[in-house]
Amino acid sequence: MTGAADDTAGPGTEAVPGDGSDTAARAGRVRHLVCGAAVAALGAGALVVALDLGFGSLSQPGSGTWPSIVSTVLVVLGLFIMVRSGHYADAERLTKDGLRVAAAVAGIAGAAALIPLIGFEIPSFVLLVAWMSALGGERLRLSVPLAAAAVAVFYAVFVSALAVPLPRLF
Amino acid sequence: MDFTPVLEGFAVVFEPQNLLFCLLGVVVGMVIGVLPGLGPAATIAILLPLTYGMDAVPSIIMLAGIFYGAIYGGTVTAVLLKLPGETSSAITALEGYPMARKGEGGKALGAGAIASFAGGTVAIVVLTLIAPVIADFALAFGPPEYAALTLLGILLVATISNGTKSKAFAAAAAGLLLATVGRDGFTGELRYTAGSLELTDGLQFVPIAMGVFGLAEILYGLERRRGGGAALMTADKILPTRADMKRMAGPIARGGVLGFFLGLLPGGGATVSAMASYGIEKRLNKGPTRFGQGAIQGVAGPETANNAAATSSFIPLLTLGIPANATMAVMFGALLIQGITPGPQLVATDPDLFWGVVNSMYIGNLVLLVLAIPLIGVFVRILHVRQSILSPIVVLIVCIGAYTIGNRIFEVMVVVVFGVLGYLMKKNGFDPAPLILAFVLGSLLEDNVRRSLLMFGGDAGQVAGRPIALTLLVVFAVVLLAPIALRIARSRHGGPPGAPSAEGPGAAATGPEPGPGQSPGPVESSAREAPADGPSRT
Repeated sequence: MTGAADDTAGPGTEAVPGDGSDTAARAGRVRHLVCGAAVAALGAGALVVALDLGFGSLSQPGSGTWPSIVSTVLVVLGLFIMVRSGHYADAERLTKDGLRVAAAVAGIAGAAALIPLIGFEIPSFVLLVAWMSALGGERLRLSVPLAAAAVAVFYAVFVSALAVPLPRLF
Repeated sequence: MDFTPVLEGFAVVFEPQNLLFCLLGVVVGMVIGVLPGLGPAATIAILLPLTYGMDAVPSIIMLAGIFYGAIYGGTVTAVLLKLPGETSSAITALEGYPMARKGEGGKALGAGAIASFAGGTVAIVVLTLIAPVIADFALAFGPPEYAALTLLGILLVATISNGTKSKAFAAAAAGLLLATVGRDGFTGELRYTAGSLELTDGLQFVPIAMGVFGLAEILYGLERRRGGGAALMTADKILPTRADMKRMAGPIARGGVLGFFLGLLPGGGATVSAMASYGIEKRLNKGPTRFGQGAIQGVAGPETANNAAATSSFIPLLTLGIPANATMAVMFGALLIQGITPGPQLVATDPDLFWGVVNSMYIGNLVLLVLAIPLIGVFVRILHVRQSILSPIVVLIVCIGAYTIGNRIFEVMVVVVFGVLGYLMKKNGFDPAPLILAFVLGSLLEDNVRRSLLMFGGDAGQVAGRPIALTLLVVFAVVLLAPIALRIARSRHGGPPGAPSAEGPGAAATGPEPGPGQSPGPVESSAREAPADGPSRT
């Protein structure tokens, strides 16, 4: 359970086998303040655009009517989360392992950007090898043949069998 | 009721080609579903691109296979690894894992498969009988009724979601906002596109679901290295004996009924019904039965209940066009891709497709039962493969799948952006399910709110003249305000503000049975036994 957050928590807050949430280090109040501020800022930004689109009226709703309502709700919820930031205990602390996540995201985005230029084979192969070995600690003599085999299977399934027009080198 | 279209539907789904697709769906659904970190919603989202190039009927049959396969995949990891596919399978782990430790893993999985089949089939039979009736009733719904119903659905999902309510509501509101991106259907004006041509038609559902459910879970798992968790158990191909079947009969019958009715509720039907079934069986089986040490009743009841609930949650989707939970939201997106718009008109205007969808569930369920036991060895082998090898391969499947949506890289980038968003939400205690559901329902809600306002000439008070819409709005208000009122009342009387019974509609909706947060047995004991590393799954 998450301690102080229980008062507003739904049923899923209780730890379940495999949830693991009960063991992760908890983030402090500042994080919840930031979360609330992010939600409120998203709402405020959206509200400005929505009002610019024109609120219309209740009898003649315009393009901005609904987004204005939703954005206002977001702003209110963001402020509420900020005010209650001391009561939550459901955010996990950021750890050094978060860098692995950042590296993985950069890898996927980089591979995706390269695919239209040089085809999917090489970026996919490099991504697989890098993920398995650099992030996962697998030996290269395992990751290289596995990655090559995986790319070959993808080629056979998506390009040859399903005729998906993937950009490709070969 | 005229059963001719139902029977004609069976003739279609029993065609050898369609059976083959169903078989394929169940197998890939199970294979992806057993990967730690991926529950049914994620599995279906990841595998959706497989169905793009296919005709409507084989593709929905394959989807039904993937749906049941993915759910059962979660059962397998719950029993063998104590790592449930979704919260509802967590209950299965309570008795299933101890059974596997005693060397009865095969029996537990067999019991789970039989129970799932029974629960699913009972629910489909009832669905076959009552869905047309509900659809007929819903034909009379106008914009105000739809607006109220959609609003209530989103609220219930946010209320019964994992985590803090205020954060779940914020996620839902963000989902509604995302749904407004693109061209406004009423005025043609562009909203929130920032000049991007790709955003003119709005954000698509599939890459968002793939990102928030699929990629986010993989990123989250990447941060948490395995180690110190529950040991992987093996399982033999041993079926439950006749004596076991006798012990399972009662739990299956009770679980089926319970699951069906609770599954109709939006949000946590499957979880609540599995908990309730476990609670009942534990209470009924006092004495020599070994609850907590591997009682087969504790696997059979909850598995029947959660599968019945998973199936009956198709009813609001198929008859009202409103998905009741995240998995149904993904199925909703999948059907839309096939040009099938679930809703009250479907059964009347396109009975072939409607009954095709329903009948494919019978087949999916049946194929699952046939395949579950022979494939146990395969699952055990897959579970032995390290995450460091499986994760990048799944990521590549996701990326190629996303590319096939529009044959462009834009959707892959959407997956990456929403993968990061989903990961950050998970890290900060925001449940992504309300965001996805609200995104799916966003345009339906906005359209109907605007139409209602136009109908009423801006006077919202006129809703009082529409009893169904008014009732739904009253329920909405009660669901929203009752927990707050309860908390205020409790704090005035000096009670602890965090008492579980104040958790609102979820608890109230479950009636006399243990509701979410009220079920001391399974959840608390599971909290004590939770493995250190397991990522929660969607």
